[in-house]
Amino acid sequence: MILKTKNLKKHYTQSEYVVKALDGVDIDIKKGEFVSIVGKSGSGKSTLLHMLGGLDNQTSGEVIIDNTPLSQMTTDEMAIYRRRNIGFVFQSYNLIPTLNIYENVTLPLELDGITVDEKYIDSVLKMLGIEEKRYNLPSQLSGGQQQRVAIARALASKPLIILADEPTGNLDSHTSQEVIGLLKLTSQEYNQTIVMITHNAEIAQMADRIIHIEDGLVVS
Amino acid sequence: MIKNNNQKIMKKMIKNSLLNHKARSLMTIFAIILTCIMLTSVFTISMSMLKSMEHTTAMQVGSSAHGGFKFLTEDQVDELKDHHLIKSYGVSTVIGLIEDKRLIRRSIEIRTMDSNYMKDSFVEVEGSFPQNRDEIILDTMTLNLLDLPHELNQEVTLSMSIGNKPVTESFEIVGIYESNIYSHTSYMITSDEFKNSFVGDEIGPNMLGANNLAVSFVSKYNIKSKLLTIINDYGYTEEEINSGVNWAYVSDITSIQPNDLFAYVLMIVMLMLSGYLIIYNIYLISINKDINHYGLLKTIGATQKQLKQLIYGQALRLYIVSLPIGLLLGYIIGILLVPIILNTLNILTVKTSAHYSIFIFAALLTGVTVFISCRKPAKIASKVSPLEAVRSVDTNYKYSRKNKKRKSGNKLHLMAWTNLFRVRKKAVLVILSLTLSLLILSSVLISVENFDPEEFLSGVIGSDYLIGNAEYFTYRNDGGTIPDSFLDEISDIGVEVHSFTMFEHLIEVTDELRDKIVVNDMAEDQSSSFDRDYIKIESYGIDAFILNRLNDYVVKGDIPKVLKVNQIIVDSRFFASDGFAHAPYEIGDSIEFNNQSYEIVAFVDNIPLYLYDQSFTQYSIQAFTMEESSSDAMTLMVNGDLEGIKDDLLKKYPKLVIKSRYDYIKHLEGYIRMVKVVGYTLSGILAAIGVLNFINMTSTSIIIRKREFAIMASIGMTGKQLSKMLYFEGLYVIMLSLGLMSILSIPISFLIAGRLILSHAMTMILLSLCYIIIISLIPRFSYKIMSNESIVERLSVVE
Repeated sequence: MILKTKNLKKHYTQSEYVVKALDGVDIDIKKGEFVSIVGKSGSGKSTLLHMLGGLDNQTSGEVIIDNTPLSQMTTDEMAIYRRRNIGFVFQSYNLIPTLNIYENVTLPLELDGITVDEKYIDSVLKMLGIEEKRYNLPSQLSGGQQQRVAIARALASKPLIILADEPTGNLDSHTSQEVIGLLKLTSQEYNQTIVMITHNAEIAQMADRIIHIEDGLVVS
Repeated sequence: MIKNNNQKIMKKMIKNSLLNHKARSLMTIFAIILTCIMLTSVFTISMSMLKSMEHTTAMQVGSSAHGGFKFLTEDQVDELKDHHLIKSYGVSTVIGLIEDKRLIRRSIEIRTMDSNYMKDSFVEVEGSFPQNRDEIILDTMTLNLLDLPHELNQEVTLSMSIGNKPVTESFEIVGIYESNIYSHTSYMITSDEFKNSFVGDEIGPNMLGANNLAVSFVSKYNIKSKLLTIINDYGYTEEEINSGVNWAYVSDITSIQPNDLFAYVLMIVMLMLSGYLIIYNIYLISINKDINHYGLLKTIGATQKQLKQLIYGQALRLYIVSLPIGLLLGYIIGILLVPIILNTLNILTVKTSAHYSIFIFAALLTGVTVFISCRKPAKIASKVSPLEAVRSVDTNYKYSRKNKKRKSGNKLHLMAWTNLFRVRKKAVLVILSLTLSLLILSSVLISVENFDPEEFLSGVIGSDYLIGNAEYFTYRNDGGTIPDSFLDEISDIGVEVHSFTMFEHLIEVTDELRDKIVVNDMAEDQSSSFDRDYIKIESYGIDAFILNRLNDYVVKGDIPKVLKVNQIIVDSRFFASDGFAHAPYEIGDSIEFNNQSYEIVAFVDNIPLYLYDQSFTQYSIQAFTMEESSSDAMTLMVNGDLEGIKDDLLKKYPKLVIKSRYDYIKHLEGYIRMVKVVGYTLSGILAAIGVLNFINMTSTSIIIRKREFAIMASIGMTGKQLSKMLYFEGLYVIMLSLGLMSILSIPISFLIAGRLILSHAMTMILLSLCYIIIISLIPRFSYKIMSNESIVERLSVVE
């Protein structure tokens, strides 16, 4: 098991109410698996993904990645762990506007002080079809292209896991298919695990396995 | 339209907004206070300057009353004094003059005065007012001339001229007042009983029994017409009643030069601008930040007017809180600076003003600054479209430039550099304001460094000691000389003595000279009627040492090594009918006086004060001739050491003043300290503005980039790395400012000193270190506050 949660709970206090975003989630994801998480908005799927990536602290329970429990790490240790082991792809791409495509993609490596494997980066850019755009700024790219850059960035450090939060939410259906195809292709190429949130049933079907979440609980 | 009552909720929202953004509110308060301080102190200084100048003129005139009537009978006084225009009045009756051998150097009028008149005439009596016939008040200068101690209840016998009769009587001094050194006249104030024994119903010869009525009105404007109204209201004509306006109140706002007025207005505008920049920045940024909030308010139905009201309401409340502090501090700084500034302008009496208009104008202009500052932000907030607002969090920080063909822009220090110039206008503004403060400090240090006390002193004192009659150093030089015994005494010590003697002669005005005077005279209307037969020449007898001193001030011709007996050097300044003109002579012309003819060899100008007598009289020429004898010297220039016997000499010759170079140096040190204080205060205020702008820029840019930082954190940037990047951003700002300052300092150094001065570099480096510390602390602090939220919360700002 590469990724595991044990009775994971996340409760928020909103004014006087306690919102139970996650209320005891247990999932197991194998290495190399492509899993989509589906559920209505407010079901807790985004919260789950954030917890898996260590972006948020759980109320109770545990997230274990590659036999390492995340709760024991400090914020900075978590950041370092993240840049080495987890790649994020967000709905709104989240590229740094002042950096060009190449710099955006290699930023996680730069932050880690690792020498860039030019060959690898070249092959990733090529596979995603954005090698021509490497010196462009994000503002000059289309949405689909920006999302491919985000995927390239997620792949740059050869992470164990890629966490994708509605990666196709801002894309048209044709581009969506294409982007997910690429995501799947690269993960197979580099033997990576993908956990993806989506609303889109068609996109969800592209995964090996689908996890349904409702009211903070895994229903199937 | 139905008026709905939403004031209560508006008030609540304004209050909430202020309390929820404490840091912003505090910074705005600080900015408003700074603006208010600067404006108040400038107004305090200018009002005090006007008042001091007015007071100095009034001292010279000898009265602070607005105007007066002269040569009145007692009946006329009773009539005029009750006019409704007159706010206060004082009466004085002229009795006669002192004509005493001991007091020949000063004109002393015998008068009675009521307490109002005394107050107006700067007569502050110590002791009591004369009641009996033989009781009088005298001033300190008269007592000095009489060789009497400044003590009450002593007897003095004086010879007088009353009417046209000589009178000699003994009096008891019951009161003493401090002489007005600006005035040429002293008063001997007597009792009414004394007056009544001489004065009859009519005005006698030599103004015996003539009454002066000094009056003051509610305001100092239009005095002339008010005086005339009073005269006319009682059925008199201008010719029958002699009236006059006090010169001190003649000059008013209309007599200010347009250039000075422009400079003044420019300064006020600059001050308002610096305040505007901070407040504007704070509001603009905060509105950009809260744009979602305003969009939301609009979605739920807030009108444009209400959004504007929300912003103005906040500004107004902060303004009200800041105002008293700003006014108070500004006033304190103002009155502390007044003496320094007046000193540099050679205004001798210092009067600070607390006129209400200072505070009204300062408050008003600060208010205008605040209002203008939030006008554009208010407009932006009120015009925000609800849809757009929800989306555009970081519109201000969108980055779209040319493609960059580089691969290492993602290094921390390079990212910092790009970030710095994302909002170019703001970065430039912050850098400029920091540069300005550093530059002003540097200029102050350069001018202090460049100040050469020796050079400055050569304009004040030409030798180690300058000795003269006490009054020589005042406006009123009575021509007193230095006693020969004193000369003998210091000659015995073996110091080098150079005497400076003055002779007054008359020069006959030939037709040729008359034409030249007419041409040279600036006042055209009077020059055509120049009808004097003689003009005065003040000829100073000097020796070779002083001759050598004059060399520095030659404007035309040459001073020979040895000035022959028939050669003369002339001061090119000539006090004509209405100010200074050029002396009506050329090089080579000859001047005849004292039965001798002198050839003009040189003209000098701007000679230092120790080389001439300051009592200018109209149509007089100042000139220098050779004189070897030291007798009847007015001043002495002594080189050598007198410190040991200085005190003894002063005790022995109480009327002499000994000014030493040493005293001047001590005085100068104080002066330099003052220059430093003023300079440092100024640079301090500017530095505060610079730092405020910097805090403003960094903290808001951190808040605005909150989401971007969250992205970086999500892909693995640690807090340490983020702080480092922010630190680089601050470092670049200070480095750019320092660089700009260093480059600009070079021309400024040449401008101020004429050479490159680097001795203050160490101070500047230390100061820069302080800046760097501040700069490394601010981003860390702002980041700490921000990182209280989890990455998810920060990421979801938009989603």
